[in-house]
Amino acid sequence: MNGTRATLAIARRDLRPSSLIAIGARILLGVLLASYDLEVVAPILVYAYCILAATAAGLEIRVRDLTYFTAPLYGRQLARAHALTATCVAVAAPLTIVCVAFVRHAAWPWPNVVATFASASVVALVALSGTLRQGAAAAGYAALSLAAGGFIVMLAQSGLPTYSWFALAALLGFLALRAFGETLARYDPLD
Amino acid sequence: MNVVLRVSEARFVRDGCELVAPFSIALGAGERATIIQPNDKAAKIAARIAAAIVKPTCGSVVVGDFEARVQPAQAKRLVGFVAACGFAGGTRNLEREVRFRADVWDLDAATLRRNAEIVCAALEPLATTAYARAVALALAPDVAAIVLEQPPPGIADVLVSLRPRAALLSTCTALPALDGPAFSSPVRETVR
Repeated sequence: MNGTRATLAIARRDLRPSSLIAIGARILLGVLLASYDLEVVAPILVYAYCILAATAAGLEIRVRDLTYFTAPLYGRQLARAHALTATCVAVAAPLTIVCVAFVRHAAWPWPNVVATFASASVVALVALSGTLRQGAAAAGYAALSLAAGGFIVMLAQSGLPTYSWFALAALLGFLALRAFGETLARYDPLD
Repeated sequence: MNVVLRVSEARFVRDGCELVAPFSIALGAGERATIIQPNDKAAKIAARIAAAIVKPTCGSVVVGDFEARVQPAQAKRLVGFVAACGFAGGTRNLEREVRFRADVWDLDAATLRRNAEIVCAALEPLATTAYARAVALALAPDVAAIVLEQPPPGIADVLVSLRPRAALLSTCTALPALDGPAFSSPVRETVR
């Protein structure tokens, strides 16, 4: 089986027209934030926006589509494909802000850039598990993803060496992806 | 005859409530059967268990040589599953869906498109467009077993002519003889 072909096909399918509109809205808002130099004046607002946008990116993927479960794929393969879409959508907002800041000759310090991208990716991966739950459990995953993103940014801002919080972010991302794969493999689409 | 699809004592329990009581069935190539369940939900779940989409709480499902719990990807590759709701998309969406399946199943898109067109044309007089499209998508890859979730009457006969070597399993909530036959020819029935 050609895993890459399947992964890209699922990622393309995940990007429905409504997702593209959402990405466009994030990019637009990112341009606005960067245009007012908010990343310099109130960086906490920019971080909060990036984390919220990443949570939405993880939660909006429609992973319960029956077609995915009839496909000859393992849970981990499906999880990787959905994660690719979620992380790409999640980094749209920070990427826009960083690019606009760079173009306006107000480039961010690179640890801040790495922290924003890392937290957005981890947040999206944690939020993905919420898509297979309902009610309080789904809300719990949304809260967990926000907390994970906030924690990574907080560590980055506290002056710890970059490798320490980046390693933690990588570990959290790996564990979140693994947990999502396990959940997908066990999920029974009854609706 | 080699068994293509075997369900052994499959039972489904959710939140302490038994939604599907244990059922067993074994189908060889070209054989067909109907599983009769007491309600729509049970019929839906039983079909999905047989198609290796839902994992039974206990019991096993084997498609070809693959145990669905251990090798779900290989088992699903051999099964064409048709949901009762059909495919709710237009012609453009169908084309997109065929391309998606070609990529995920790792098959040639042109062959899949041709297969889907043949199935759609054969089913046109019998089923709604949505159902015909769902069947066309399920049968586009070369499958060894076809599982139909509560199909409309007469569909199975057409599928037998289209895929004579495939095992055909359907679920329903009433005896086919009493409430419009899912199969017009003799079938093996599994009644709980």
